[in-house]
Amino acid sequence: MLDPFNLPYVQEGLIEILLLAVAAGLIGPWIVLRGLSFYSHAIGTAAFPGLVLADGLSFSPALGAFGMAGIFTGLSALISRSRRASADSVTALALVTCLAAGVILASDVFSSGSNIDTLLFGSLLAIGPADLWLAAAAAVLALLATGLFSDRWLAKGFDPESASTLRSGSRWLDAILLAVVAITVTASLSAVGALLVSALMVVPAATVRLVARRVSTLQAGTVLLVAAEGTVGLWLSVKTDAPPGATVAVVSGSVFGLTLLARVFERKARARGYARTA
Amino acid sequence: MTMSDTTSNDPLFAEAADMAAGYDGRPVLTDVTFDVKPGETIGILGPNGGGKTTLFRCLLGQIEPLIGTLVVNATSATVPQSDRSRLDYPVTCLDVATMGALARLPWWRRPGRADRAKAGKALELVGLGERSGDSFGELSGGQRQRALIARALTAEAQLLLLDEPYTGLDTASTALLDQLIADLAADGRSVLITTHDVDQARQWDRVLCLNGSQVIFGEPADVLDREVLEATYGGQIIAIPGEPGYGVLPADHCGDDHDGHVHHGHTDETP
Repeated sequence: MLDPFNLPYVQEGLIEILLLAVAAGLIGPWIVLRGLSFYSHAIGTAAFPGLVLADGLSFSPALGAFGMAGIFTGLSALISRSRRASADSVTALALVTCLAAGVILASDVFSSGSNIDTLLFGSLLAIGPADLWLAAAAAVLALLATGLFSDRWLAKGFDPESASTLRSGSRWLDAILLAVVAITVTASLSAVGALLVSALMVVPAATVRLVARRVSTLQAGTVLLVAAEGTVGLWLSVKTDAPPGATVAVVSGSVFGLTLLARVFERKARARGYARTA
Repeated sequence: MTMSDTTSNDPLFAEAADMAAGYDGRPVLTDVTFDVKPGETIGILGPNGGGKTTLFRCLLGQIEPLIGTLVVNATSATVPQSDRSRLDYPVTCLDVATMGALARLPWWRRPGRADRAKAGKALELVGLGERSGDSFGELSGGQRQRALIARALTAEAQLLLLDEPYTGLDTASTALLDQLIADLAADGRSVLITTHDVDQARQWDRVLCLNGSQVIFGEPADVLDREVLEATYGGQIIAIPGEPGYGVLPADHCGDDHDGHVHHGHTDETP
């Protein structure tokens, strides 16, 4: 039953997903709590033309992705300072522009052809040493950022009005959060691609959020859930010959749906129990 | 509620002289002259938009006075209305109280065991010692207010700025909060409380009435008369038919042929 994990390329995929579980598990909760889900999805899509350029011009995909993600993050931080522009509408505009630019570059300029699928949906079964190093670096960065800033990110998200009196209202703290999210998302691209990045970064954290009562529980639970969903998704994709990124996304979405249903039934059962005893 | 005797000779916690404050160079609050003594409770009365929040922002150092002077010699902390916090966040009462430690710590330090112990003691002081593990969002409005006061205590604030803390509280919670404010003042802390309730303001040491500029500052028994309240709320004090009290009729209704109804929804009762 566990035969797939004897294959070297599956083992590399497993190490990749376990490293990403640390990064996504620690940073994903902040994406959910601070309302950055759309931003994180947009970062993934913004990196797409960078990946196409790297593929076409034969330079490091990580460099292309980081370059585009960096430009996007910088512009988002600048635009978010303006009261006239809605952050969501600017993010949506950038997302569509980047996706269109990536598709045009891939189809008309570099004729990337079959590579587009890989860039958009990842290739967890074709992980190289550079991808593993990048995921490890993202995991270390997530650990460092959590250790240094999580209390202040929490204080700002919980009570933005009082954040400055708690030394947690600085724009630098927000910029660091955006940058860490951008780096973590970019490190995940080789595994799940530009379009499925939410499967690792958002959905597991949103799932654990349904049951967690403290941030530390939310983070620990999300690390474990990403690792479990990634492992199951990887195994399923080998067994069924399905694309691994998409399989992980389906597993992730299914677990969220089941958890939500369980919560709804639990609440109804509790209400019925109360009505019976009243 | 009386000022703590033990601290009456200490230096002032805050002192403003001819201060004006505002945003983008435009004043929204002018001619403010008042002081805050240690262990004092001060009620701040005024209509919405009268400058209460701007005054708090000055005291917190979030904005600088446009003209005049403001000297703050104490650590300040704000206690906002509790429903402005994210009630859906996965934080316990103890987590919220512990956040106060961030005000004292440098950016690279996280609250440690000693800070959590201090937060636990602050929760006990506000009567929430047994609720420290409960989710903040599941507490009642009064309990949330007290948890936020515990956060200010963990920050070791000497000057507490409470923004309409009585909003939405029932009688029992109001009494608990009254007692807590009295205890804080007796402990040498000063508490500034914004309110629309004139009756409540009468029990505090002094009142500061604002309506775009300072109307008056002094002891309630000396300064809170009909004329001051009319100037503060920009309207006319009228007797409410069938009620043992008064309300404020908005300025745009003054002098009209009105029917005696209170049109602005502001119905502070005065004895």
